[in-house]
Amino acid sequence: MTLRMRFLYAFTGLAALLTTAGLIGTFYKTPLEVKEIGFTQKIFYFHVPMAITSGVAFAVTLLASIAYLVTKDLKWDVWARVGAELGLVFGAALLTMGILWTRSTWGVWWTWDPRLTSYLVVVLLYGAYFVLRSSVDNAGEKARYAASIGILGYITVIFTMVSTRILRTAHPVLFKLGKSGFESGIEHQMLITFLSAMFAMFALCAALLVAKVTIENLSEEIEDLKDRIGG
Amino acid sequence: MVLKEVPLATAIAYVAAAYIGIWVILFGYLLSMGSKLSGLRRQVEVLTEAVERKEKSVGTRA
Repeated sequence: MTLRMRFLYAFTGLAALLTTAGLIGTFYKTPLEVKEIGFTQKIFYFHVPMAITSGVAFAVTLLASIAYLVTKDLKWDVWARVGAELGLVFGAALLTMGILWTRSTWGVWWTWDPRLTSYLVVVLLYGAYFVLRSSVDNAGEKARYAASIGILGYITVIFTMVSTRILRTAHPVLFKLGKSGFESGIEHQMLITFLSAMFAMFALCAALLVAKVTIENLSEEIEDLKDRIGG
Repeated sequence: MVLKEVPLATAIAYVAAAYIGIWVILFGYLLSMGSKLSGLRRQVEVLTEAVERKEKSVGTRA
């Protein structure tokens, strides 16, 4: 078994374990209802980790895009594309949870709140990243244009992260830097559950990243082998 | 935006829908990756054998 496959199995196993721990914590260890938000606060434990993981996946695209522009090595373009795809997958899951939470707490399916709107822009922008890729044939040109979007697009991710702090928004801010350092204002058991869910999503993202890059490499290998048979 | 109080049964339905929704998306994606990966690995094995057979036959003829 190759090292990459070992990583894949290790990350998948870790993700399964931590997800189980996170779900047990969410439904059995944390308070049933939290003041004002009620039972729907249970969505929080996986909703926020998904938002962070989606940002991490887009950061992979940012770093790989920079690496491609510096080295011109197409392997970085593969990593950038995979990062963007995973960011969108976690983004889709995040929006699904978010829309249901919005409906249950605010009574509407969607509101043009700065946080929600800016995240929608992020999703549309990374969607455009794939539209652009499919419209250019030359591999080098495709990678160069995509890298530009991969780098500039991260500005929208950063804006989404800070939007609740710089703009008037109804979206709650749970974590902030206070006088005594990093403050969350949530109970110990809630924090443990939240961290389990967050590391579960990181492990799942890492497993999917390794799987997807392996798929891309195997596809290239298959093309190479077909050429050798044909030639 | 005013917070809306919903009955517990309705809240449970929203939470269940949210969790089912994300696991359908994430596990669906994970399973599709897994099946694609195993399919490609099988294809690489078959093609590698074919290349080896071809190279052997070329070597024998030479």
